[in-house]
Amino acid sequence: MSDDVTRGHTVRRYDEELGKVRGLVLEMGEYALEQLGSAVQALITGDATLARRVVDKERRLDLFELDTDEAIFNLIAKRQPAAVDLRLIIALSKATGDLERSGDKANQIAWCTIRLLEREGQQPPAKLLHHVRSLHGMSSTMLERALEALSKTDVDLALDVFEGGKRLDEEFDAALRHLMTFVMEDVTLVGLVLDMVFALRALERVGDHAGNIAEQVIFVAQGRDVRYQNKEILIEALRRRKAS
Amino acid sequence: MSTTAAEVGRATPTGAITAADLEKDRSFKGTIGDITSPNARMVCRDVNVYYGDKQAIKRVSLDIGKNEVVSMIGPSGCGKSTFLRCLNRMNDTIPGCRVTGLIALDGVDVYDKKLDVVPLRAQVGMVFQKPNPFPKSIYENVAYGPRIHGLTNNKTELDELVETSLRKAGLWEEVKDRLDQPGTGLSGGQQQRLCIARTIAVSPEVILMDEPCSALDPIATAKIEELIDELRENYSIAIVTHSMQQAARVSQRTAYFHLGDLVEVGETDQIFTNPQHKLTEDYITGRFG
Repeated sequence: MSDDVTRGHTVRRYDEELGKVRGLVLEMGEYALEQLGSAVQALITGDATLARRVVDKERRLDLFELDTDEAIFNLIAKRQPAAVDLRLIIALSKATGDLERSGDKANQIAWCTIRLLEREGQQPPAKLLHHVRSLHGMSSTMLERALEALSKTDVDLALDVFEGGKRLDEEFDAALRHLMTFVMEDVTLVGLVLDMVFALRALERVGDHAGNIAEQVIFVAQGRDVRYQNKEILIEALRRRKAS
Repeated sequence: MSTTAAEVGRATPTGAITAADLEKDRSFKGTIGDITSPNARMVCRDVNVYYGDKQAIKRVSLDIGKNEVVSMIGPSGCGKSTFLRCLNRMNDTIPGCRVTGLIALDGVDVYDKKLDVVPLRAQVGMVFQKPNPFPKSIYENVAYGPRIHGLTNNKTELDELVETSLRKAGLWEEVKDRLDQPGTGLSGGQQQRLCIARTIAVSPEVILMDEPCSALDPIATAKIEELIDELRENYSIAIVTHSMQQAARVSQRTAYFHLGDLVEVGETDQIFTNPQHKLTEDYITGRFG
């Protein structure tokens, strides 16, 4: 679907209201990405001040969620959306929850950094931070694509997100194996490794939230609820359908 | 014993309708969705309606099932009311109106030349946009139909039928102490329920409703909608409405008409959440230009 799904209503104010809700969600997504980037940067550079700033700014995402919920609530009450409009509103409502939780994950990473630096006085070694960079690159790309897919109602982009999720899981598993090896070599590092696992797990979860948003994009575009479906089979089925 | 629509088959300008034709219509290309109902009470196939040279309905095929409410939606002039009025031959009264195709009630062709339309209109009753009670008492409004159709043997039976009909229409408690007062003295919502009681009194199988709530306030509308839901237990109902929320609330299946075509028909839940045709989606989302 290439047309803007918020447009074309006879009542143009309806277009504006739908566009406003989607705009809020996309803005919230940008903010969540920014928070995630700052949290990862704080961990990699050992910047406790930046980590504290991430924690302080987390509240803003909660306010985004409240604003979006209110706009959705008003729109449902006034417009009684149906069909694609209803699917879009439901999708945006769910995406809001996923973005708020993505922000929570940035917060968790920031707290890991604060614990490591202020309580244990340790900065993770570069060979472990490599996994943080890698997982952050993958999960933030997935979230960016999911948001772009949501803004354009683009199924192909949503499928890219699912593919990214598979790679992210593999990378996370590899990172865990490496961390286990690391802690077996020196058990005194168990506290550091645990915080690193928490941080990596948070990044992996951001990828899951991006996947959830991508599922909602397919729901908006095609009216199909693809949650809990095997994504490899789904990707193949949707690409085959498009080709035919 | 009733016959099936296929057995009835009759010669029309489009040719004799056979069982094979009916089967073929299941995959009717013009309409998206399943036009059939597993418990069809009314079967309509290839219905065309012309007003003079102008074709108002184009090859519309649709079943009305037992114990179901089918809503018909679409922009003004799309043919939904015209189609509804075909179901009990109300269009016969319009000069220059011509209907072709098959419309069968319990397997009996309602356009059979030998068929008497008076009992047909008792079997397929109609409720109109504007409440139209007779200028008679509340009692007489309900009793008139059973009396002319000879449905009761004595006054006691007639009294019982009037009470039962008013109860089914949800009006009894409001009017039981003033049955001798004019029906026209009731509120708009009560008048509409009186008209529904009048329709019920002659034991219909199908009730047609042409925008029955468009002249009513939201409370009276809610009462009629509640009534429609209760009536579904005993009757088949086809309703034309301009209120999409009403169609979504009261019907099990929804049919979308556009410029005389039946564009899409499906489960109401599906039509309002995931319509398959762009025209349907544009209409129900308010994008109709």
